[in-house]
Amino acid sequence: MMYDQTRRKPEKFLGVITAGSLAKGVEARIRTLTPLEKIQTGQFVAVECEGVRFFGLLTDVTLGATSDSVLLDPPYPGDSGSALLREVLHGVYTYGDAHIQPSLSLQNGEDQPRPVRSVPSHFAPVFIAEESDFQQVFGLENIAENGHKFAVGQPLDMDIDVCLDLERFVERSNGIFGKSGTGKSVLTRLILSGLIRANTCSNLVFDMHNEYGSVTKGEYSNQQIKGLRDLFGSRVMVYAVRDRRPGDKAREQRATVADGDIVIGMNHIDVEDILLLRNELQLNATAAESAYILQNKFGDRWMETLLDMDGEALKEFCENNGANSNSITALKRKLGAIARMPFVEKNHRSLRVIDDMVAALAAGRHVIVQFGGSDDLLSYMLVANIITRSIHKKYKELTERYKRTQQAQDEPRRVMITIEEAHKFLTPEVAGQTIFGTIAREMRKYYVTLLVVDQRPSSIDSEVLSQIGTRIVALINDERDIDAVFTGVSGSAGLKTVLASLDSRQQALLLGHASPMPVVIRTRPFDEIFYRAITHGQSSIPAFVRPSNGNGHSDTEGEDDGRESFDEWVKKQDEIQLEKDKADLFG
Amino acid sequence: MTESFLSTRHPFLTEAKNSSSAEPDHAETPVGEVVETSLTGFVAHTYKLDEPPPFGGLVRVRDRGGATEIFGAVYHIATGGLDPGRRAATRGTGLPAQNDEQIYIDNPQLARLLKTEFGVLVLGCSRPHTGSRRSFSYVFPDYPPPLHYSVTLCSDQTLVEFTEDKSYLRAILEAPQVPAEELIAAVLRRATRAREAAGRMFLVDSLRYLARNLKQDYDRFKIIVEKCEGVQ
Repeated sequence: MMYDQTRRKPEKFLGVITAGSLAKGVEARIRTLTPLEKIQTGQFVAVECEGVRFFGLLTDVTLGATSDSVLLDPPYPGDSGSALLREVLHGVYTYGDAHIQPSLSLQNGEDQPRPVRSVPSHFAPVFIAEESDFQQVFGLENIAENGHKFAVGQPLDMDIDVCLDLERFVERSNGIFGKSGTGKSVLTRLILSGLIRANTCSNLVFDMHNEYGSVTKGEYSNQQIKGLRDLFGSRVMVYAVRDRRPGDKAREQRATVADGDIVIGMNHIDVEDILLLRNELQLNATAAESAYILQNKFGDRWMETLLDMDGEALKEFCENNGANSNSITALKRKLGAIARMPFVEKNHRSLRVIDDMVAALAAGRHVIVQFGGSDDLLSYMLVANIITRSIHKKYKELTERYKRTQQAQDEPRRVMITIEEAHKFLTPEVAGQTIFGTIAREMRKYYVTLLVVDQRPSSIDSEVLSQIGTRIVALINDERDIDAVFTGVSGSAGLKTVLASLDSRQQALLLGHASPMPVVIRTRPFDEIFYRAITHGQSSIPAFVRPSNGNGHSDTEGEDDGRESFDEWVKKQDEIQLEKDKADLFG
Repeated sequence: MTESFLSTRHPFLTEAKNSSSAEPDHAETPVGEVVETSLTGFVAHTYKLDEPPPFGGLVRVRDRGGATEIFGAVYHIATGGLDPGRRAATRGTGLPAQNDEQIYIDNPQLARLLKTEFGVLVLGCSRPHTGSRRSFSYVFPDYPPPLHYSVTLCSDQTLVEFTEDKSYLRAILEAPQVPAEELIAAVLRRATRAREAAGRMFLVDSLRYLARNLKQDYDRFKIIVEKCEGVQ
């Protein structure tokens, strides 16, 4: 039986299939009186065959002519009969071929499309997709009814939702790419809102520019954009990296609400963290490597010890341990910059706030780490790396416990870590060593995935890129970046032209694991209507209180529930530490 | 005799006054009689001297049974001596004051000695009526039009109906010894004009149909398009 002709509107008819292959896509001769200039790439099309319907993306339109003589003697404007000639030549002597990349096929009688394994036959009619096609492929948004289909935007020429399957989305690491100013932040905020509402995973967001937590001003308008904390209340916890030292009254108190300040002790800074910062600190390879010598010798107090060494002590150390004194001196000088950061403490045993965060994540809350005044790249990378290492460790434990017990309640809650400027963490030089590289490659098994937000995908290690599940790509022009975005995507040649033709704002190409097929969308606006839709039917939940018994991971024994002010708490910690050290030393 | 003869000359006399409708309106009236016939085309003599159907005009002849009508386009018109052995000779004086029409008035016998003939290319036939609309088939009839049957020039309405389907254009393209480009352009111009506002659309559709049939011969196609330009 041929397709039901009455179902399709004749004005949606585009042409018929004439050539092609599954690998390279199929060609359709455009047979419509619509002028070619009105046929846009990136459109979603349906091909009707006997018993099968194919869905694909129109990736290119080529001009052709049946005979060379037409092109040798073309009708010039102003020639007699040229207007009529041009009109009647179109579609017969001169024609357009649409290049279509088929992605899905739907057998008669089935309701779920599947990836294509065949090509449409000759002369199968091609139609511009209609609403029902979109619904069939992308489904309907059901996030307010506790579903996991989330509308991220609309096709270019239609008012119908294109939905992302958030359950599939969190199964893999994902990427949001685009040049600066193409709406990456909006897209990220949108996706995070969806993830939080659908509750498919916990989110940890390293918010370098303080964009996601609370109200910010829009880049192109004076409109206030709500933060995730504003939308989802206590589901979202905001932690801030301490941007003033205790007692430093000169700096103004931060205005944003924070659930805790993040402080990092030098003893928590690993050589790995320093290696990651090699470029930012302008350390040469030898200097970075000599940190290992220090760590071998002094354990986790290596940094503190190094910074305390004077010239004599340094010399002595180098002589005894075969280290290069120039490198060690350079290392000491550069590490001074880290020691001066307001959130770095010399004697700080506890990672209590970070443990809190990890516990909150495991309990299903979402955490935003704000960098406030410390939004330089160095602080950002250092803190992100250390926090992520804690999570990595914790989740490895949790997963291993789950593997042993196989109890449903022990299954760890998925965590997705959002990092901006991801290429700094994932360059080919460091991706092999840093925690982010490890997560991107293998942590899926341990319930931790990444949401990589970046403007320079070509700087990201290709091994990491190839593992990315869903890609949301705004406009990118650089050839190398485009190639990088499509690493590990089959049939990408056609998609490249689509990508290069996106608008510079509020348009994105969606492809990969969570999107049944590649599609170009107009991004859903992040406005009042969206606020209402995303919070509709959402109940409020009480503020997160960490279970007091801990779970053996933290080293914060003997603390009360943390109600005291931060400064007091630091003081108390220092005292406890002092007592401990004394006991170690003399006991 | 003179009176009736003068009436037949009417179009010539009024030509100068009303050049926009130079053509006599004898649609749906018999214009001639078949004198030579074949399946692919026929030749007819006009009833009145110099009053043939126009070049590219659609004419029809009833077949012997009377149920089917055979349709064709006029591709050739000629006037000459009735007797093939006797050619026409000059009869005027050549003086500047002379009126050309005066020759016919002065020589009334010419209407008997001369004849106008026109050639028709068969393009299709009408099927027996099904319902109210006439339907056409663009194939040769079973038999050629019978000799001495009358030839009728079709009305604009019939022309519009007949040219709705573009298959007839193919028959013209393939006909031997017919000025195909000229004939196609003439038929299209007439059919376009008959459609008034919808004409342009018809013209473009028809030319597209031709273009598909002339894919290998762009130059020929271009000639036809140029001849159709400016119609309406």
